[in-house]
Amino acid sequence: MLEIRDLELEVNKKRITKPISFDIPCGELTCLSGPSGVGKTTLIRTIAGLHKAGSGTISVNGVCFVKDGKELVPCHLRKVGYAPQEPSLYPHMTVKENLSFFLRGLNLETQTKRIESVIEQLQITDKVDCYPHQLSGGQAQRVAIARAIVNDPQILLFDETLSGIHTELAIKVGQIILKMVSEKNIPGILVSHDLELTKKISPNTCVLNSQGLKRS
Amino acid sequence: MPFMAVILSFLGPIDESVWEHIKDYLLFEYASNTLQLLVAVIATSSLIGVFFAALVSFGDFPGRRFLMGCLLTPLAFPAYIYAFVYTGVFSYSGILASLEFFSFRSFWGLVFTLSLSFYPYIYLLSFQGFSSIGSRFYEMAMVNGLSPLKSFCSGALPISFPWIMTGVILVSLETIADFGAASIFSFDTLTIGIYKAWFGFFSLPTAMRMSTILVGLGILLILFKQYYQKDKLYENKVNSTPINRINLGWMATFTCVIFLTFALTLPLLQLILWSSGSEAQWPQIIKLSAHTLIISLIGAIGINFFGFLAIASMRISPIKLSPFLINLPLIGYGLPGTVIATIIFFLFGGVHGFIGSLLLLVLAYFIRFFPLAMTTIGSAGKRVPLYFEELAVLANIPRLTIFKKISIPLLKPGWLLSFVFLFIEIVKELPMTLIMRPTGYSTLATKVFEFSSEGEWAHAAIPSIVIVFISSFSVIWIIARKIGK
Repeated sequence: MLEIRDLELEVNKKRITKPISFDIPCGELTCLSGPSGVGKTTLIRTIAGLHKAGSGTISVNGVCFVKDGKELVPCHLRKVGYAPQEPSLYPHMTVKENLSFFLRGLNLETQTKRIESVIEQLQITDKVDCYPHQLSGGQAQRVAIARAIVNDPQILLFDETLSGIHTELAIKVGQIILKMVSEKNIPGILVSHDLELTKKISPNTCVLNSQGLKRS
Repeated sequence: MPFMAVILSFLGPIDESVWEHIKDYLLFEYASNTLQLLVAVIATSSLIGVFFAALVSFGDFPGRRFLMGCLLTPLAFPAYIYAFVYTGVFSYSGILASLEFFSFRSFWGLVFTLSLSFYPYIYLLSFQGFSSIGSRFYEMAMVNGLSPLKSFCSGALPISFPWIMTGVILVSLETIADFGAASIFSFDTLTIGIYKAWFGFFSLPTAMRMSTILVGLGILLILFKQYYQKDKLYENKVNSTPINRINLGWMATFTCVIFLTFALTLPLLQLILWSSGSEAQWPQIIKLSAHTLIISLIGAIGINFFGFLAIASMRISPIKLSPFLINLPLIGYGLPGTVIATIIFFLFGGVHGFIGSLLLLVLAYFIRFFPLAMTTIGSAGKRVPLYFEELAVLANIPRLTIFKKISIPLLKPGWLLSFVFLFIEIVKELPMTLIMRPTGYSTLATKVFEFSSEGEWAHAAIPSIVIVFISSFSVIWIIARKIGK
């Protein structure tokens, strides 16, 4: 379970929202919406450990990542699956290499099994040897999702993963994310500026604005 | 290191008589000469650079693309080669000997040679400004009914000013740092004054104290550049929609060709004429070329390695350094070679076996050119999203693997370009190599300087051609990447 208590988001030492508190149980995907520039990406990056928290507490499955604004677990030890705003696939690697790069340290057999499992789930089996520039927008997003989950994370964070693709495909990709979160039984956050779209994907939707976070 | 040396120079002993003499009789002249030269070179280089950048950006004429690249090739000519070639061109043995009545060895002659050598900085940066945001403002003004000239003056020029200013600052730094050309013209600038205090008055502490002025000036210029550039280089993305260029016809082609005759053809022709008339000592030329290539490769690879390491580490470091700390090493580029040599001798003069070693020369190159590596790799890095490394850090992938598999391939355009820039700069570098080289270790640049100081232009011609030849390869490579695309 992801627990956030009195988290203050800061950019350039300026507070951008009122303190935020919310919980996301394991297996639940919460969609986070809100106006541009309100701090949705900052919230995701703060949970991932890529942005310093102003104050407050973040913990996952009882392990405290941040306490009273002080980082207790550095980002590389948080086991976070993160898909940033752009697909950010390594342009010089094939789809398979993009995935296997995140499985370093595991033996080849386990790597192959993990990769096969995610590419089947995301229906990109025929694209494993393609380079990112040979993929369509939707395919690239699916590879980015595959890359976020291939390392068996304990929390999944998706930042505007559905932007830039048409609504039908966005709903389809959103539902894949929902299924992944449910099957892996881990908490997940999907950020999207499109509130209507998020409502079609998950019943758990929150809106972030300068006054804080509200469940809708 | 420069700051430490500056403080120590004021704390330590000094030859009072030498310092008093320089302070009372020479320092003002050095400073005033430097300032006059700076103003004149900035004005001339800006005029040439902006004019030709505008011509190739907004005009269309026969051979435009070819001439556009040719206008960058003077980058391959160090200022000291232009200086002795043009001095020779107008002398009794030169190809314009009939104009001997015209005294080229004057202030304006020096301004002309320095401007020929440095205008490509302003030309390249203005071109970038005009071809990115400048062209869009130009089009907007045209759509609103302004003439092409008015559209350029009120649209493209003001919005491209930050790029032009960056070029002007680079030209200022190069002018202050110039040693070879000013020396050939016997024009006493502060840089020459420092050299004279050291090797004429044999007073290193006095040279060090004089260096303080240039350290201060260099710092001021670099700080101004950082301040000025802050949030002002709006974007570097080339406008993908081709602009509707005005047809200027053969007149523009003719203008470019006339200019390039002075910047390229005439100096090359004169060098070839001199070299054909002198007996080439090939074993010596090969040895000089080998020395130049070895020191340039060692320097360029070493500095590039550390530049890459600095940028790649900053990209994956969880600690974000303040802009002041990031920009601090950039001050090195504002320090003339003579000043850096003075500082190093001042600090390490007492260390046995260190002075006159290649290691110390490479250290001097490092102080001067590390900022060049950092800015070139850093600029290329701005086009690579940080996400690439962040994702790998989140997955707990070792830093070395991230460097090898992500940073090296993705930052390749930056470190490759930086390597070429460094290589050209070190091949052409004169004052630091002249002062700090190991005994008996001559490079092409130092030989050119030695011969040209003695007026032996024919002997200086072949090493000069080799310098231009080596640098040209690198310049053509840059042209192919920057403009050829």
